[in-house]
Amino acid sequence: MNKPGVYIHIPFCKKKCSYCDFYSMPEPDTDIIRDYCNSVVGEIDYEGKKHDGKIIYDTLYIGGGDPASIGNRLVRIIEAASIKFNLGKNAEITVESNPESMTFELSRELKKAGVNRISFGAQSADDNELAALGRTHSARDVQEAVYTAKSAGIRNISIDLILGIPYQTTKSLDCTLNFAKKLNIPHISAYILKLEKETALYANGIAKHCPDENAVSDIYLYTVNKLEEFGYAQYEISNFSKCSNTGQNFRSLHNLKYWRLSPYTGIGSAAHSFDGKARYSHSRNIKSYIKDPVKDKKCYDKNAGGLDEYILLSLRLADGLDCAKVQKIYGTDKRQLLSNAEDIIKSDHNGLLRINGDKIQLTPRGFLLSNMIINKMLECVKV
Amino acid sequence: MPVDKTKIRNFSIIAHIDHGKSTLADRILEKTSTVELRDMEEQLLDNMDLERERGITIKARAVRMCYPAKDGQEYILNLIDTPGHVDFNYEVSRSLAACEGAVLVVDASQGIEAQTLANAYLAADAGLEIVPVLNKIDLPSADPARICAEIEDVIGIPAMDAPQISAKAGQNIESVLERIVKEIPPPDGKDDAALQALIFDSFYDSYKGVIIYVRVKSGKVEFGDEILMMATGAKFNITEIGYLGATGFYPTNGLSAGEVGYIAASIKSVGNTQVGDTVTLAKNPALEPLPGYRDVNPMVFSGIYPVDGAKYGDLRDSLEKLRLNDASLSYEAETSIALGFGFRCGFLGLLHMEIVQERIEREYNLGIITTAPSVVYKLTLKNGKDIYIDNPTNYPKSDEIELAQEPIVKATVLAPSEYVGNIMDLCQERRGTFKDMKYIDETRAELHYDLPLNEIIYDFFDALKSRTKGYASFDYDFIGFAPSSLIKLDIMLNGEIVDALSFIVHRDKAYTRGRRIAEKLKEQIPRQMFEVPVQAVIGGKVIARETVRAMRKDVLAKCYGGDITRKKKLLEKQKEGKKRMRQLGSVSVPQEAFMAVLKLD
Repeated sequence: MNKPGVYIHIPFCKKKCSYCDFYSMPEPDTDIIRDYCNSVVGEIDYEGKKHDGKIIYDTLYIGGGDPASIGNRLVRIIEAASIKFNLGKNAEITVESNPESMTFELSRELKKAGVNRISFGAQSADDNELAALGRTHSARDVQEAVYTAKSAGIRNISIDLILGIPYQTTKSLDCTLNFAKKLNIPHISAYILKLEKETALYANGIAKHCPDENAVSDIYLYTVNKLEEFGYAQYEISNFSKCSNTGQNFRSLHNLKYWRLSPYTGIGSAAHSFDGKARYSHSRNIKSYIKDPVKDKKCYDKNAGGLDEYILLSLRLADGLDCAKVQKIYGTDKRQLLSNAEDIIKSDHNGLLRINGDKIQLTPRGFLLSNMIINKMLECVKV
Repeated sequence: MPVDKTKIRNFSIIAHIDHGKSTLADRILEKTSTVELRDMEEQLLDNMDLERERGITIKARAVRMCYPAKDGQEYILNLIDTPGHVDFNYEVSRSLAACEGAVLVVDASQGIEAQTLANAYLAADAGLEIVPVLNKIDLPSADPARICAEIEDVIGIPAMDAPQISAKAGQNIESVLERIVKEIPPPDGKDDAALQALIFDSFYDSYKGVIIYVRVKSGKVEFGDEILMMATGAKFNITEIGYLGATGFYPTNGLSAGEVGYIAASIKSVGNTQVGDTVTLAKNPALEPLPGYRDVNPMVFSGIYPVDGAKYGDLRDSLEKLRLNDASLSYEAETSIALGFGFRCGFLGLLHMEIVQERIEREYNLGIITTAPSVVYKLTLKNGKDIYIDNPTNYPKSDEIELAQEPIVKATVLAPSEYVGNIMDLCQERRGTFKDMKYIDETRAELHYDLPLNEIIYDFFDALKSRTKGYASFDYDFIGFAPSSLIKLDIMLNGEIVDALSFIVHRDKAYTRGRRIAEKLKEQIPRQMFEVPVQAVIGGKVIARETVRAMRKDVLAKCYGGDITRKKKLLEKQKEGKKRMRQLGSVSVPQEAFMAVLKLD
């Protein structure tokens, strides 16, 4: 089996972004942060002891919220996790950060603690768009944050961009993409904005100014093209990476675990875990977590990791769904899957997918319709 | 003790829909204490859920009551309830044939409507004494004097002293009962003649087999007798015989001339006990059956398919069971390229069709797809053969047809005179031939048109209602076939003909109809992964085209560890939605699309 990864959720940020429906807690008081971090360290200890240090984890990902906003406490957590989860020297250790939260001191500390990858929530280089998203930083902050991380010796840097922001046009997007290019970083994530009903963006009416379905689709395809042109290869619906001269690929190893059904342990409020068979989650209730992080984690799917998940996750990747592998692992006739894909190809004039040997691979246009395509492919699976 | 025939009154209540027939029946049951108040529920005789909800009577019922009249005598009243709708005209006529009189209920504010007339004529044809009653007299808009005059003018029976009642409020019910006793004659018929008993209804009971409702016209029939159905030739031994209570059966030794009751004889199928048939004794049969029996032929046909193809067997079972109770429903297996295995079903009319569909969905909990209803076309082929086609799929190529004929009905429409223009326009649009028109009074007119049945099976009644603000009433009767210029119109989705959407249409209507259907389908078909052309085609020539644009974006951009549940939920939701869809080649079509194309106005 693939080596497992660890995810740690830090649900704190200075201000909640208007589009965000992740579990996060803006402007927390220091007591809560302290108690929460103690519980996280407690859970790290508990989970680490389960395997008696015999299992080597090779990725650690700290997400949020804005993990960098809790400063040195973050460093303590990473140190604890590195030990308890037996993270090797070559492990990928990622920290998410808002651009304005990354100070030079913190990046030095993080580097010392083993962090070798930082993912900045840049979102856009257009300050109007940033304002529409309720972001407090500017494009200039992003530039500085990236520079700070680099000078602390962290070179594997990623930024998140958002597509379909209110007021966004191909022209404003072009500026953002050129801005990203100039940062000279090896990884970019570009997410199509999903309007969630419970968010401020929805409530405050600014959502009305989002580009429509057609415009967003064009924006997405334009982004994919442009990033390819800049040397970033698309490896997942929303993820793009460069290769170094020495052949190192800067894809996110941790995130790949999710899409490849590798196991991972989730720590912290709202974090999910998968042990290869079952899926677990923590509640979205910080108090319940602080009170007892172990009890807070519950199994919600005893029979996970089945063919349906394999299909729906594999098709997110540019590498696609390997039907020969499916036949080997799940015993499902590969011809069944391939003929479903052929059905789609027959009536489709837009090139949504291609068959490459035994692999079914979605094109960027296909990624845009991936829910529909996945559903069609899932017809092969008996539930 | 033999029953005193002079004290029996057999009667029906007839009325236009919503004029208060079932409510009056309820009050009469209460008044005669046939039903204890605590057992009373509304529309007691209509015991199907569907009947109560729609406020209609689908099946005939009968009930025996005792009434101590003001003359000091006790009378036996047999109330035979009738279905009110034109689809069930034949059943109505048989129920009436079982009576000597009919109570004609007329809404005191609305007056005579199309079904009032149709039913009154049926009752008069059957030689019944008609007792008019004005109902809803408590409504502010009631105008009894005007309505009485209307009844006298239009139907031609005296109505000036008609009881003025409110069935809802229970007002003046006794005057109706007194009128029944006084005006409706007692039955005649001799006990010592050969048995002739008219079947006016039958239904299937899972313990006793088919139970038939009869009116004995002459002779006697007793427990243990071997009976013979004169039209079907089937013979049975009576296992139970008796009277009909409001809430149950009362077994007795036998029934004699003039009486109404039920017979059970371990009969397996209602097919052997056709409504209108005559029951006689096998050992001493009557020389002739009672007059008026005929086979009931379905007029409207449509394909019924299970939404889930695997439920084909369940659909067959449910149709079998429905047919046990409904001999006028016919079905045979058919296959559609688009919809798979299903049944071609024949119905008496549109309401009958809707009722059967609804009962399958409700009582058997089956999702079904129904194809556009079709009528029967009579075709004379070039080779001299005559054929009848009730399924557009089987319609021959135009160059094989010498003469095409379609069924024509005689339609009667009653409406306030201000809508006459609208009604004429509608009938004109529907290829009607004007016959005549007369004014019932200064404000209301009665129009007669000959209309192709094909033009009224889709949405005629809806269109009529909307163009007359709901004031028009409508009735029709099949009169025969007439030559017509017919063609088959096909619908193509993504370049493939969907056989379940084909239909026969008059040449002059083909273009408009084809275009409207294409537009309607465009609205109904959700966007898919690719563009879907919707085309209406006649003999390979495209006459209309619409396009369902392709979906461009349906993606969950963020999918990390925690999000996989969200993703799965999304997919499950989509899958649920797909269950209501039918896969036609590469295109998903919702069930509703098959019915929506019928309502084009």
